Amino acid sequence: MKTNKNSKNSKNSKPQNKTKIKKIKKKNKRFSIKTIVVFLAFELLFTAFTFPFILLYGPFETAKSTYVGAAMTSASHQFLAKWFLSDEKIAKIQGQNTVEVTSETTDTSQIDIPKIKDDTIEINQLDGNSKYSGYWMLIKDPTRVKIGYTSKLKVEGETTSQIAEKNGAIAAINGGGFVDQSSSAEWTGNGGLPTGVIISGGEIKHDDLGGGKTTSLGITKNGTMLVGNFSVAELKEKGVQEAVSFYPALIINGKMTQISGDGGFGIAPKTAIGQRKDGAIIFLVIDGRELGSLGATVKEVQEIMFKLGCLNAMNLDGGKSTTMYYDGEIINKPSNSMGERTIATAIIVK
Amino acid sequence: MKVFKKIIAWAMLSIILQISILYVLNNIVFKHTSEFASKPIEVKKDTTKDIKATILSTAKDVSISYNGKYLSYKENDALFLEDSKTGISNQVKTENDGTILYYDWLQDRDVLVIAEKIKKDGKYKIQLTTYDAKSATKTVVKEICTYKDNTKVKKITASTLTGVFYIDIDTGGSKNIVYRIDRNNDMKEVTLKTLILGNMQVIPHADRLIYEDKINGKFYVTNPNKQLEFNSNKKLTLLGIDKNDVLYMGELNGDKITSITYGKVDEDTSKWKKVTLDSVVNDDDLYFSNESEILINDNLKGSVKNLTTGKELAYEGKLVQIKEDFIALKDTEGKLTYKSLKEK
Repeated sequence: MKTNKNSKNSKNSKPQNKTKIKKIKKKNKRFSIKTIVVFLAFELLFTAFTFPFILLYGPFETAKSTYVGAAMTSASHQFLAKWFLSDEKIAKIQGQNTVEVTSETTDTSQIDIPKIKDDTIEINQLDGNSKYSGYWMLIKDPTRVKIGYTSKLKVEGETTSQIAEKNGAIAAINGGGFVDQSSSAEWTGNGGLPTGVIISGGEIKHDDLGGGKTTSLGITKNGTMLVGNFSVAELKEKGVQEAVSFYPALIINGKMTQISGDGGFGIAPKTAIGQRKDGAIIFLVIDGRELGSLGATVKEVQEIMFKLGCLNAMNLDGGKSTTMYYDGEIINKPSNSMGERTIATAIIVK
Repeated sequence: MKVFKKIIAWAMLSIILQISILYVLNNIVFKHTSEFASKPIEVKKDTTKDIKATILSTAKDVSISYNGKYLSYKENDALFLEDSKTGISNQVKTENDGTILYYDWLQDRDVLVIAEKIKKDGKYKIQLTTYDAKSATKTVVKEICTYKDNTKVKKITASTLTGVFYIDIDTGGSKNIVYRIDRNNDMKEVTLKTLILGNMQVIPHADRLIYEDKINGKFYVTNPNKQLEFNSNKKLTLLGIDKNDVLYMGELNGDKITSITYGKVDEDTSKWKKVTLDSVVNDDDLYFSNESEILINDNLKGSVKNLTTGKELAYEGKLVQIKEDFIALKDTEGKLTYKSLKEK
């Protein structure tokens, strides 16, 4: 850096010793349009050629894994990583950002559901973080928390607000996953076709597991929230009345699940649900993809839920789906240009 | 050589820029951080704006739902619901020539609880239903009992938290019967310590009924049974209960209230708080808020005073009702307006 500055200075100082006329001439020459164009073209090309190497072979580990993670989890931009890195190297970088699936599931005896119901709902703004902002909602009576789903299941999704309003719910967040594909193109799913399992009001509304297991969230009749890898039969056996699937599990029995690096989901808007020891359920939404709030990684969401006192917590569908609704209004700022996205399931508070 | 130097300089410039940008991205933008602060946000909306409803001069028993979205009133014995923002009224219909005997808003829902007289299998019966104002749908809860002449439904008290209804039925003259209906629509008769009932009120968080023995002027709580004894030589009346299970008792002078004693049923009544009122009031000029504060309407002065905070809100027109967040008023033409109680 220093040598560069010195060389520049010496170059500048040289003409100063010459006559005034020459100096002016030189100046004119230095700032000629041609020089500027050449300068810009050079900077552009040079930067374009060197940037991938500085990024991917330089010392900036976080930036590197974020870039690779973002490229590899997108459908059409994987070449942005593949052009510059061998498959092994990509696998290695991504391998630093993983979530381990655990066989542990919620031990219901650790949660103390209060005998006397408290219908308080509190909404808090989460700020003071340089990377993201968001909201978390505290629902003191867990028996009010249910799974709502689109009234046109398998045909068309509905927004979080619509699902809340149709079910007479006061509050809601977006829920589980759905197939993000229409007949013609990817990423055009209307939210009508859910993935995993939906149990609502004790009835199985959707099940594509074929007897297998998936990371799910279940709520029993007395309001205990279960998190873990479950089959539909296991959920039924545990007396689960409400269930929805997504991944990963964030906290089980007070222990954070193994998430290495950023978890490999990239930085994005996020939604999560958790339950404290006193039975209170927490909804979290992190806004993203906008100035002032880029979004959070799944690892960061895990730590937030842990700090909020959750004994069990699960990540829900994020990105453009992330929505928090309360009493006729959207609390957060969904990152979808058309407003709320239509989705398959919502977690609602009745 | 000059050109070469220039290229080196330009290349260095580009690299410095890139490294600075990556440094910022790496250590600031993409930095792993779960540090945060929380601050509670007020989610209550201003419900006091854009009210378009008008109260007809022929409308009787105007009552406003908890959030002010709807008002109910009677006109020629028919029950109507009016949307306060649009001013559109709709009649609440009953089936099979039914008559509405009693109705009231649920405490914190836009839902009416209704007792109606219906004809079924050639007999008149009393049936409990709820009516959702938003969807305009009725849900039958339970058929309560047969209807005879002189039967009156005196009061229904319900808790949206515990899901129970208590229905006080005056069978004509000398006996009141109270039925309890729970969330599963199971019904049973409540064993009372009196034949004639005064006011009654369910505790919001517990399935317990507080009622007045009108013959002896005593007060009881059910489940478990207990008498509430007060150290007062004046006649007392059960005024109401707030969302926090705080019970309000009024000392009467004639039919006016002179002082209010309040507390929870599990607390020793001698330790309950007591306020003596500056001037006597009617019980319909009182409101007990979700923060356990007492609000009093002064019709002559045209103001609503919060006894606990001392805050006073002056108004013009006639007071229709005091609600949690606002007061409902009407002018001489019957135009309804809401005035917020929560403004600073």
